[in-house]
Amino acid sequence: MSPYSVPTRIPRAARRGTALVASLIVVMVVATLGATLIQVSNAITRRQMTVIDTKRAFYVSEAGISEAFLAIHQGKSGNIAAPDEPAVFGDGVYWVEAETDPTGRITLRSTGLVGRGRFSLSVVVERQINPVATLGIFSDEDLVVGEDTIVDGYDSSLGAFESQLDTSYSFDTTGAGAVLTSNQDVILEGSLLPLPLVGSPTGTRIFGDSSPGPRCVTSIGSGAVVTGATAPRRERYQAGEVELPPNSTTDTIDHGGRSPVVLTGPDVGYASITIQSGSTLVLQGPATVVVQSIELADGAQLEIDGSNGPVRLFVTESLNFASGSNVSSVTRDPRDFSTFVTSANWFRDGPQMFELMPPGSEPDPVSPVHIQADGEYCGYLYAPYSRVVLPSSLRFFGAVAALELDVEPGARISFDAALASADINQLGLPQLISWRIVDLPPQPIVKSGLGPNTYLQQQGVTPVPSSDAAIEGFVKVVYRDLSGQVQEYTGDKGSMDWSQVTQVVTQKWSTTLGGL
Amino acid sequence: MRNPRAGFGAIELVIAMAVSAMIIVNVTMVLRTGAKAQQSGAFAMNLENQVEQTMERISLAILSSDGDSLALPTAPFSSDTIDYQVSLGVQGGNVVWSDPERIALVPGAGQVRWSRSPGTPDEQTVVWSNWLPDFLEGENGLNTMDDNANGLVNESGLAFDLDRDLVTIRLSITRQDEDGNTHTRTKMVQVTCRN
Repeated sequence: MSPYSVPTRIPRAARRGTALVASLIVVMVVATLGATLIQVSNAITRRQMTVIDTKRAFYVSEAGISEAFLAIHQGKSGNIAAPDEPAVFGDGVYWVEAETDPTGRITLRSTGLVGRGRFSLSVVVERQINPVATLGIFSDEDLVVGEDTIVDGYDSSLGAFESQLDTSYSFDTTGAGAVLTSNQDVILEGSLLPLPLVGSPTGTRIFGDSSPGPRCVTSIGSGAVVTGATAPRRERYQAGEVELPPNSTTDTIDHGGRSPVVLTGPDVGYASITIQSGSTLVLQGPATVVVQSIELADGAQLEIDGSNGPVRLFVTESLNFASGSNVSSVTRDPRDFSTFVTSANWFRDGPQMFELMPPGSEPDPVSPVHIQADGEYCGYLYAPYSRVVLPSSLRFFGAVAALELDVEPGARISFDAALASADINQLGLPQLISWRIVDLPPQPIVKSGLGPNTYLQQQGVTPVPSSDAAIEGFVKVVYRDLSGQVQEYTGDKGSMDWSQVTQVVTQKWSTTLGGL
Repeated sequence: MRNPRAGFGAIELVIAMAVSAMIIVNVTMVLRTGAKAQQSGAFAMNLENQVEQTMERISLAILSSDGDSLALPTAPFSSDTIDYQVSLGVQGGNVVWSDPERIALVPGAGQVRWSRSPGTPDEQTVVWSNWLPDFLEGENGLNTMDDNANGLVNESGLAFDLDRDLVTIRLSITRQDEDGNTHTRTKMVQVTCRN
């Protein structure tokens, strides 16, 4: 054959073979296996992500509880956002539903959603109010009520005492609402006069309940009447510590002038305050006053002005309102004035010795609290380590708690039920009663298999910021501004300039403007 | 020109078969290695998931319990059993507690068992996990020393200890794969009782 011959094409028939088919089959098998492995891996990853999302949803749910706690502390209902417009927190959303029962306890149900994770928690909380105020007229030792004493109750949140009188009585009384409580016995001293009628102004009248301590009794003397229950309590009450503000107490006031001395402000502190005869001390709220000793001489006057905010008085050594001094209140609202005495009974012969003395033991203890003033005391008195004697000369509206409490014969006391829900000592966050995990609510966003952000996007809903998610949109707030002046604002919370606030005195929240 | 009716020579056939066999063997080896790697990964992941899920169940149970009622030792001692009650809510002003519950390691069986009303005729039991060793990973168990330097001595495969209101839970799960290799995963979680 010639070396220059042109090569010819290989005939098609000669090019038949199965290598391509075989290799295609192998590739398909490998691809199928690979796809299967990817699917399995994805399933495992998805399951792990669901576990992670569920854990994150748990923490978001707990964040909702925290937000509701803060809202309740601020006086709101505890409702945060809603299922159809939840609050955003990190990568997830949540909402909290609050329900208050007749006892005042609040059940919070918080639902958190993150990705595919869902979690729901339920807690029961109690507003952290001053629980001692609910005990009314309270004594840790025996509570002794002198003869011809009248004790009743009212609610200052509903109006003045005079507007709640029961006119069926021949004397001023509401005819109900008294609360006497003790960790020991309640002793109602009898009268030597003939047995009077219930409607009579003579004889001791307790228009309400008397609750002695566990396995103790209410001793009802001749002529004394208790219109309510007298069953003993199941548990003793343990008085709580007083949290003393860190106000400096180095200055002294010894005032004998005609013009009144006015004390106001959050950081007022004195070593001693002495008001001489004919002079006046005005405690003007909002004010927190810390004093080692305070004394009103015969003829001196103490005026509590809570018009702009509450007054809190802390006494660390002695409180002495001499006979002939006078106490009055501008607002006559017990929620506007509270007195905390942190000192304890001390030996007569050794004022330097501050020791608690059981009553009746020798030598007799001397109480750091001495009240013989007249006028009206409208407020809350808390002296957990001292003996207190409520004089008959002083008309008492409010509540009192003392180590030993004696009520002089002929005294007149009205317990204010509104103190039980008032933020007297500006205590902290609500108290947790119960915490548990609950079933998820049957909401569409929960049942949806989508992540909450995707679901809300499809619904055209933008979740609200967590800090702004409480349902109460209107506020009435009394506050101190940057110059220290007391101001008040009522209206939409978004329009309030919070940067001007240095101290919040009181605040009230509502879902409507009329609710304020 | 080659005769169109000519067949393959013996040598050609042998070479083709050899090459095909090599290809098939290589492909099979690749597939087996891939499958094995996937199995190993899945095994490790499953083991990890099991530890996570078991720990999650234990943690959530203890979260809802009353911290004051737990009777657990403090480190370096521990317990493989925890008895508790969870809150069911509030009724009439009082917290309602569930029937007593128990989470315990059953030694020998290597099981974590949850029980409600243990020791009573109404006892209900659920096995939450298997394959727990008698002692935690790294713990010898035959001496009085902290072999794994975790602050506990001779702790079992499920160990609880209490520090004020903080419960520390330690869990080890050990399994053997198809090749007989032993894999162990250990997890530690601290939870604070919410009630």
